[in-house]
Amino acid sequence: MRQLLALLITLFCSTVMASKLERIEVFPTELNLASKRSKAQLVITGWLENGEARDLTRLAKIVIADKKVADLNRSIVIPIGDGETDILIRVGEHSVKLPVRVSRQSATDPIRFTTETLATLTKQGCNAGSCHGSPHGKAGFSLSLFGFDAAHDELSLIRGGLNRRVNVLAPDESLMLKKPLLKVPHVGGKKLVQNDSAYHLLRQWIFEGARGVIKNEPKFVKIVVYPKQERVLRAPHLHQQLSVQAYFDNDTVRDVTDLATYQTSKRQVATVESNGLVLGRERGSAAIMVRYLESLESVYFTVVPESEGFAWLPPQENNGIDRLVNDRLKLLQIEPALTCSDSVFLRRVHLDLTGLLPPTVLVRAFLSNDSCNKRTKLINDLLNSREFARFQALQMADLLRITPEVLTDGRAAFFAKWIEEAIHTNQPFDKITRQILTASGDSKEVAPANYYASLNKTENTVESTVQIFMGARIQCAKCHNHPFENWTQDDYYRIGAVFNRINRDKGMILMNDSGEMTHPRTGKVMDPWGGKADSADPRLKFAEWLTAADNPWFARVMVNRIWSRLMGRGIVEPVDDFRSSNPPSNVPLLNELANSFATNGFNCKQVYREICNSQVYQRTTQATEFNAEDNENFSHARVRLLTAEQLQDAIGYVTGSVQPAGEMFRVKAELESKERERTVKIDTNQSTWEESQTKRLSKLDFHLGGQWSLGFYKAKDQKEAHEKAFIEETAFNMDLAKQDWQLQPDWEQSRKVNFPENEIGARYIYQTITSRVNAKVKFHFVADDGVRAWHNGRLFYDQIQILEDPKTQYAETELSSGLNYILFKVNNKGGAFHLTVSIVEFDGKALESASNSTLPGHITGILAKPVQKRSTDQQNALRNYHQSLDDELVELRHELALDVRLQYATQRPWHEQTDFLKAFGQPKRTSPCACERSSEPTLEQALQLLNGRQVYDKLTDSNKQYASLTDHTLVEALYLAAFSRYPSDLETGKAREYIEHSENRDDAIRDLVWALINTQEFMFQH
Amino acid sequence: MRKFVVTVALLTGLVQAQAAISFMHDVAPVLLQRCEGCHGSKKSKGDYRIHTFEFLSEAVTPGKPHESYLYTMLVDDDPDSRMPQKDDSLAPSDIELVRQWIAEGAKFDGSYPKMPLRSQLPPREHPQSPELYRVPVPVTALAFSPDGKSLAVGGHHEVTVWGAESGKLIRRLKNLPLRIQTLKWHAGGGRLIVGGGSPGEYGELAVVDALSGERLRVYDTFEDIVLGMALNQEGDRLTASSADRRVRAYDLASGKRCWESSVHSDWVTSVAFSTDNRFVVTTSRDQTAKVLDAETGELFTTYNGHRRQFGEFTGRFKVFASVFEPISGSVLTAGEGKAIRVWNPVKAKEESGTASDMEKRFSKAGHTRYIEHGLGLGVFAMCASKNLVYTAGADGVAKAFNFEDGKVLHEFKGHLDWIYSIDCSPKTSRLATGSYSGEIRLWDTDTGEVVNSFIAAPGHVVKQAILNN
Repeated sequence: MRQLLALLITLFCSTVMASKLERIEVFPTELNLASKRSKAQLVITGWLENGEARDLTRLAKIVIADKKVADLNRSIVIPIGDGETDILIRVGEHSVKLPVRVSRQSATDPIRFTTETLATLTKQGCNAGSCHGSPHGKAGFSLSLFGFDAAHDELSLIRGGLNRRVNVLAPDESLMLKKPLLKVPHVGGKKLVQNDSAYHLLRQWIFEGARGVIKNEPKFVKIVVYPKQERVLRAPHLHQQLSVQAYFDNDTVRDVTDLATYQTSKRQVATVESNGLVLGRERGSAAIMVRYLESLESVYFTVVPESEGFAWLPPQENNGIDRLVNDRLKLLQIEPALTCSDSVFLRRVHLDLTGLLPPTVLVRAFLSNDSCNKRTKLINDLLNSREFARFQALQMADLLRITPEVLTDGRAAFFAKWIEEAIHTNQPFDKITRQILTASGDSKEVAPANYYASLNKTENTVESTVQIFMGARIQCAKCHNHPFENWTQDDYYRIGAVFNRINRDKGMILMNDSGEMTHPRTGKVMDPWGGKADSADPRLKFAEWLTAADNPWFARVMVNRIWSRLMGRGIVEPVDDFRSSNPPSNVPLLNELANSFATNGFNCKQVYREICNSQVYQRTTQATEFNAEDNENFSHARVRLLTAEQLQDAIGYVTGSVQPAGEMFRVKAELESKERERTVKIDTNQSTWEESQTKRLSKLDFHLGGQWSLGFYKAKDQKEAHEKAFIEETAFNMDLAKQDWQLQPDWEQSRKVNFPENEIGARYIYQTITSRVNAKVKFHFVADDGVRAWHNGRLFYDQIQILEDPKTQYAETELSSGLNYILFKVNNKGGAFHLTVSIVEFDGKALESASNSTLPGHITGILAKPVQKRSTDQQNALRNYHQSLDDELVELRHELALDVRLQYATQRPWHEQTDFLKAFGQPKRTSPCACERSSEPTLEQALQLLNGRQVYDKLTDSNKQYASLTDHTLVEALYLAAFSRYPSDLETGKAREYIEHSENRDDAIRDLVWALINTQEFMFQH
Repeated sequence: MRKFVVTVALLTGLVQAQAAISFMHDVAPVLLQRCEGCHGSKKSKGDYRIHTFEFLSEAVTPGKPHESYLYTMLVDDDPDSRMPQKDDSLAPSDIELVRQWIAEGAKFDGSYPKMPLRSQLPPREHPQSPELYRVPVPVTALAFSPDGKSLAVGGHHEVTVWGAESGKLIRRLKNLPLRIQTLKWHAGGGRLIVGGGSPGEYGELAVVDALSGERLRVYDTFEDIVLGMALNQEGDRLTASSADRRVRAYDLASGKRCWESSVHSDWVTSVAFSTDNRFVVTTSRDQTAKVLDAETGELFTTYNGHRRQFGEFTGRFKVFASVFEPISGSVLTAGEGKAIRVWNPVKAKEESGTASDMEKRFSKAGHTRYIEHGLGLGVFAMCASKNLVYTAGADGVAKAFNFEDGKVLHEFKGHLDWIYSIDCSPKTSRLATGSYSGEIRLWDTDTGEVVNSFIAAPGHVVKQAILNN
């Protein structure tokens, strides 16, 4: 064995010499073993000339000067007797000395429940969430998850369960040993090995009296793991020993390397033994998580095994992004792919930025353009387009869960439009975020307040906000300290305190005065995150903290999302799951992007610009032997299925069932000019029309003006309501502008009007009648309850309560020719409240209906006034009414209002959820998680494309788009539309042959279209 | 390697082959210990179970060990297939036992092939108790002799008997299970009935001679430790309850099992006979108390007062102790929570009802009476004498309550740790309490003062009575 070791050392030294060992280092740099059972795991590191580190722990020669003070167990130092000595460590011609001090070896060192027993139970998996750490434990025995509640565990283990789990007199008879050793049947399996250190510790703890938490024992503060930074494990040195030290609040340090629990984030890349030895396996990177009591730290390892035949050929680098990606690829020995073709780039960048396929006219232009910066220019054009803003707004709307079902009354559209504008004008993202998070007021008026309107509880406000803006999944910390992250339950409720005072009554977002957040377990009142408990709006401080340039979460998660949208995978994946146990695949890249974002005013478009201009973004999807297995380092582009909306729009475009994208600009301009023309035309007729209408009206016996209402006036009883003059009732020709008269355009003669009030009081209604001659007119009244009526200020009808008796229901008055002013007052003695007035006789002749002018009352009212007496508002009202009579103009305006582009799903902010869209993963918007948009392939998708309803409908008219073209041009147009490239001769030939040999040309065209949209080249980005 | 093992096993087997192998004695204990965890009633990997003989024999071809999976899996070459999986293999001698037993015809010498094997195992031979205890053991059971002069206390594989006045160790009755959970004197003090076992492994109910300690009869073996025991008024019937959820009744003289009841869904922590011998009340960790017919063991009714009630004492509580009040016929049950529940079995059945008359029932207040005990984490044991009820509490305090008005008559303070057991001797007006720390305290039930205190562990210094405040 010793010869083997020597051989290894020589071999190693020679290989190390080849890469030139510069110096060696030992951790820790001094040892203080102050109790009987203390020990220290040494980690010896060799630093090479090129800056890389190698773990030499098992290969160094370690010699202790005085063996009466301390001794070695492999690379672990154990104390023997009080005193001081040195340890000499030697590798080749390098050496380093380590002073050791040993004390208190004669004092007892009992095993501590909180820091040793519970840590061991965690390490052996006893208190995991799927075992006894689950909320109700298992088989009646429950422990706290990962030992976070020592008092609970003490109860469960020692005195609880009728004291059946520990036996101090005969420790081996303790059920808590017999079960995991499988000496007694244990459904959880074998969790302890006889004579392992874990077994010895637990047994010893029981033997020493199974003591629980000790009052005033030193409290655990944190762990320090060595090595701290990322390490590269390069073949053949694919191993690294870890050292874990625990710090306590009495300034003592204890080595807990064998007590810590180790886990790997990726088994295939690296594994870790129970003594903290990391072993690298396959190429890639993994995080090794070290857990001890409440602390969780991660160390990142990059494993680089042998790769024969690999040569680094640096490709063209466009910018800093390329450099950072390539640095990593070089380290991992992965080959970067070449740049993609123009047509692939064109289609890709169009889809990624705007969600739409490039229009054929643009494809032709781009492919024939020779200039060297055409890609950059295209990127700039797309970033400035409305389509970009809308498509990105759609994706933001997914996260913010904007749905018309929850945000009713047009608030969804309002909020979505606000976001679209913000993106289009490239508002700094921190500003947008702050506006959203600190919004207050009526959600119908303050668009960003709708964020809170769709999150109805404090809990989901906390979880959504943290997931969207910090990329962390804090849900677990609601009930206990987060098992995989350093989020504690306290943190959760402190963030809760920020949002707990929000009042969402009736769509108004306001801050209540009270509404403290109390911790559900301890009952403590929590200070809001970022501020103090007494501040008026804790959201302000929180938003300030979140959007600060040095906040570690905010910039990172946003640039990660942008990266993911463009590259198909985030640098951290899933995009909103940032945790130390889920490391970024390229730390310097993420740091650089985030830093740049934060220090340059959170300019989102700039991030898009930089990424799209990089060679990394423009790589082909063609993989080679040296990068085919790379999934996370961006060595080549990813083949990606188009998203649901993109696919629906693409099919729409190719089948011609939706307006072509590029021609949108032209269409809108056309519409606008048409509308202008038409309006002008109508307006030139305005005065002629007005005259003719007035003339027509004058021929009528009489016609009525609009009805205006005023009210509600409360009264103490019906008498008062009926008799009291709340306004000057005898004054006629009311100045309608003075009081609060409301025009009621939908009220008419002979039609019942229901008033909203049901208390005791009265309302007024005012009306003009223009009569051609002096004539008597008879009114019929039906009301609940009574009415008074004045004609030109003279009371002509007074019925405090209208009864069934017809005598009470009629009244007459003499109209003078010209304008007459009628005032009604309806009283209410309580309950229902309505009025119906009809003119039943005019000049002695019975009338069937009184409204005979065919114009709305308020228009005739205006027309009745002489031209010079009409106010500007009244003139505009006449103009608008006249315009509204023209069908063509109305249609044009309607189309403009709709904004034709909105036929595209990628340009609409909310989720239509058709069968097609659902099948392709359109999110339902019930969760802030980016994972709600599914990208998994399903059978349903295949069926939808082959013969789904939506696809079928779109195909039906697809021939119309192409029927007028010649066969050759047709095929070319199809390929340009669908794939953004010209068809090859073979493809053209085959297609033409098919058309020529089919009976019905239209059917053949449809078949072709159907075939093309079912190809992989169409459905995928490639 | 395998051949080597087999040869050795064969050789040793030949040497041992004189007596025929007893399944229950030789094979079952090994299989139950090593295999039942994955092949039992809770888990049945590979769809194979061994906890009853019927199931076990599915992998046995009598007379042909090499055609029986039970044997071949034990010696499989492939380390991933070899049984027990992920554990050390069986000792070669044990493997040989299995082989030989199958070869000899795989005969079953237990009583019930369809019943769990664990409860049919022959009585164990228990190891010797240590001469001196390194540390005291928690006092989980104690009982005054009928004349009140001695106190029997559960120890480690033994029952120790102490002088009630002197606190001195009189006698040690050895060869008993690892832990004793319940003790009762019988036959005027000549016999002791002992219930205990090893948690998670087995339970034993036995009767020993109170002087010689000779184990006269083992009534039964349970699958988990025996927790509760009661004798009827005449002293001819015995019931015992176990953590394996079962309650069993025996004829004391013949040892015959009269009935078995499995109506609880968790440990059955205590049993009590009603004063008119009509009922047996059982309490359980499943938060209920059940009333069984004492003659047949049939379920008479379930009392849900520890988990379904409204108002001040609402909650869901495990129940640990039960005692019948001698005069009124009411039963008191207690456990976690704030109050002892006092109720009557017959009235409890009337109040049980069905879902359809639920409304009507809820509109009446139930007949349960609550005695708020104010003892921290709960009550583990109770005993009754005349009109007083004594409770042992988790916060180290025992209390005497007047049964009628629930008023506290005495508070017995002084223990520094949880009190697990309690007993009273009306003849000598004494109360004894035993705690987790191994301390026993003796109290005067008239004055409430402590009379004596000592550690019930051989080898520990006997403390003289100290009359503290």
